[in-house]
Amino acid sequence: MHNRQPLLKQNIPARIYSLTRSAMMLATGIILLAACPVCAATDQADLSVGMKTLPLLTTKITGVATLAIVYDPDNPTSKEEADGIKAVLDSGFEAPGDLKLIGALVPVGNLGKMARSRIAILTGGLSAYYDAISAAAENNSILTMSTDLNCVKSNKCVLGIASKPRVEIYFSKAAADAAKISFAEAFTMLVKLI
Amino acid sequence: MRTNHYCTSYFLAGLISAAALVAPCDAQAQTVDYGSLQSLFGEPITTSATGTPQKASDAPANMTIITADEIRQSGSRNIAQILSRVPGLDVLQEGFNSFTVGVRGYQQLYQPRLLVLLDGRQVFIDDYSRTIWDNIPVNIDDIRQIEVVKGASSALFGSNAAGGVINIVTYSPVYDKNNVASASLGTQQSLSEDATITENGSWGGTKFSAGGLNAQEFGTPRLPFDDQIPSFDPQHQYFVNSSVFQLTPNLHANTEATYSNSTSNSIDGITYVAGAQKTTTWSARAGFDWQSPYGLITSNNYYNHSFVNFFEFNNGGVPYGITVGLLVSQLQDQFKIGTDHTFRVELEYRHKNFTNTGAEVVPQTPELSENNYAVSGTWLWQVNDKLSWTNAMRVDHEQMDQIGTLAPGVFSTSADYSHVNNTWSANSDIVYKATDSDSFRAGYGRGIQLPSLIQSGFDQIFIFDGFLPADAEGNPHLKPTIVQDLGVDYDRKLASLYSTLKLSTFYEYNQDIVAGLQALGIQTILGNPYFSFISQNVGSSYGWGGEVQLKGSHGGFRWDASYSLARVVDQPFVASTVDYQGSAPEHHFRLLFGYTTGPWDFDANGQYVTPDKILRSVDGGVTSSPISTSGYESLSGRIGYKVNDHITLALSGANLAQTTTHESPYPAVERQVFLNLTGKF
Repeated sequence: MHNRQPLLKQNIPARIYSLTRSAMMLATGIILLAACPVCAATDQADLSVGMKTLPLLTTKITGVATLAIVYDPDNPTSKEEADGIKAVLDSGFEAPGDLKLIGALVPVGNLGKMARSRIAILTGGLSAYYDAISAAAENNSILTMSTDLNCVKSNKCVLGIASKPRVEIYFSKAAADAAKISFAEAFTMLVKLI
Repeated sequence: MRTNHYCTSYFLAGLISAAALVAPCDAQAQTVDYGSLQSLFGEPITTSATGTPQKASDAPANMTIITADEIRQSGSRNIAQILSRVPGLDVLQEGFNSFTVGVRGYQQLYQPRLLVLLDGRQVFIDDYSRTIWDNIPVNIDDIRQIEVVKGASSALFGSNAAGGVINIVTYSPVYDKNNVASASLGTQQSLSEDATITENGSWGGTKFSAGGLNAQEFGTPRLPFDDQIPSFDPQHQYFVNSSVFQLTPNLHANTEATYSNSTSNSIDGITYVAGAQKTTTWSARAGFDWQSPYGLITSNNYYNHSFVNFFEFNNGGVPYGITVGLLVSQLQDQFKIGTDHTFRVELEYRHKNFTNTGAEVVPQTPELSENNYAVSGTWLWQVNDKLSWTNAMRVDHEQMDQIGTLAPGVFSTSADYSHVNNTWSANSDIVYKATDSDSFRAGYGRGIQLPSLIQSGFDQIFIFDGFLPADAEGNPHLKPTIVQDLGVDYDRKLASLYSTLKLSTFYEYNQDIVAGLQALGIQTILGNPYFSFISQNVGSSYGWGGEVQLKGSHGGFRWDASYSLARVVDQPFVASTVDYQGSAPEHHFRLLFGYTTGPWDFDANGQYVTPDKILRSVDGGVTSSPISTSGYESLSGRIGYKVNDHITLALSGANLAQTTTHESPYPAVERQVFLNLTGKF
């Protein structure tokens, strides 16, 4: 008891520091939580939703098609997400109709690899590379999609995918037009246009 | 003048068709990829609320969608019986294959308030303004979903969608590969066969459906007079071919041809005596969908022909026949402006032609012609993620002409028929999705129910019932019935109960209701006196009520419990002629329960309907009066066994609660049991 008072007084700056740090962490958490819907990592449900949009393209993709998984090798979260998508595709993922999808990891430093693909899925954490990725997609008429809704909202991805709590599709007509990709009009009536 | 009408009409029809050929188009029922969209969004997609594709949970209308799984689980091979699971609909069975479907208490033989479409084509027949359910040319196993909208929908679908719309959507010839065949054998010596084959590829797709039914009519007693009317064995044959051609990735053309022939024993909706009818219908349709720079442009053009032979008078078995031709040409554009505004605009031309023939004592050749021009539009504003507001409006301009010859001295002359009706209809609905689990809808609708062709233009001078010289006439001066309704709905997902709770309330007001063939007095025709009967506007009526439904599924179990309430109050003349208030079953309870385990399906559907009073004639149609019923309970069910991935065997039954069920003052319905074998390939 005798030592406590001086200790408290002595720790006032530390407590302020601690409180400040807690408040900042809380604020960061709130921001992250609020941002979560736009940066959720792609899981199997998201992938399934994304692939179910393919039959609604006006020019159908059939047979065997390569799905580019674009990621940032310097970003562990992005790399982990890309590996997760590849693992889902490699473990017998059932694509709609007679479509067979083969996943190909494409690091942002080697976007030339995208040219072999008809579809590309972008992990989170790629905002610094949106221009380069969308340019590659436009040159090769590639359908781009991501669960990172910032991509579609900045008109750099064609589709933004959200599978929870209910399926929502965000569609950038500008990105689609630039990549010369079009969907059935009925589809565009059901999605959120950017 | 008549020539001018024709010229104008066909010029406009040609213009619409030509515009459809050079302009862009898409979004007809056959060319929406319902399967892919439903798989993507995890719920049925519908165009019945606004004309544009929407998720069922977003639709700004009181809507129920019966899925293909629910149709299969019902065990029924008849669309009207399948509809009995929908809260707010009342299905009255008059014979083996003869039904009337009422909506929200407004129960009426020859139901004129419920428009029925098959893949966007009207199968509702304009003679009495009704649906002959047993004549619809569709394979039950080829139905993807049945969309039921309760409430005025004329702004989207035109006249007669005054109380609601039922849109039967079949599998697409281009997007689905439905190859199915089935056979059923059951009581009443019933035997039915149905088959659908589909062939599709990058060029498009084509689909053929055909089927038939033969049975014996229920053997339950009829009234003494009714026994003087012939009764025929129920039967049905139909054939359908529909095709979609993918001309370019953005341009689809579609064609359809149907033929259907059926016989049923029912109750005449004018005289309330037993009758029989033999119905032959055929149709031809062509259209296209173009995904254009200006939006999704759809052209839908079809011609329906129907011929119905009625046997209902004690006149030596001579029927009277009614022929209706209906030409419809629609051109629609759907487009978005910005991200939040979706629009639909449509032009429509509709031509109806009607003749009747029979054992006339004074020969006439009546031929009623109606030309209808309509413009309509829908505006859907997605105000924000939670709130949307939909507005729709339609304006109709109708020209009527009598182009046949009438006997001198009849009440309405040819000049009386040459006139114009201008009407408008509207809808405004707000949907508010408060949370992911709660949504509210509030809406107003103004619907139009045009007088039927019989009510407007029937003309026959004959010996009624073997002794009464009668002059039955249409009335060209009838006003359309205006239906206005208000509705509030609340839906809540109850995750802990794996269920969805739906609450709905409504109020509706009906103005200028039309009653068929009311006694007018003595009319002297060619020097002889005849009792004249003529259709009349008889006043107004209002109704209110609601529905509560809890529906869900979990662990192989499925359930659907509902209660519906409908109270109707008629003005006195309406009560004595049409009697909506007496014939409305006020309370209707339903409990559907099912369970699937391995290859087995078990489903049961129990219903209880409280007493009502239904008009009936006991003197051969000279007079009619309301007869009280004691209410009834019904039970139907199905046990299905999936033999393998292709073959399913099912034992189904209807009206199982008793040997015979008295649903109404009409002949009681019998218990029906049948065995069904279905193969999908």
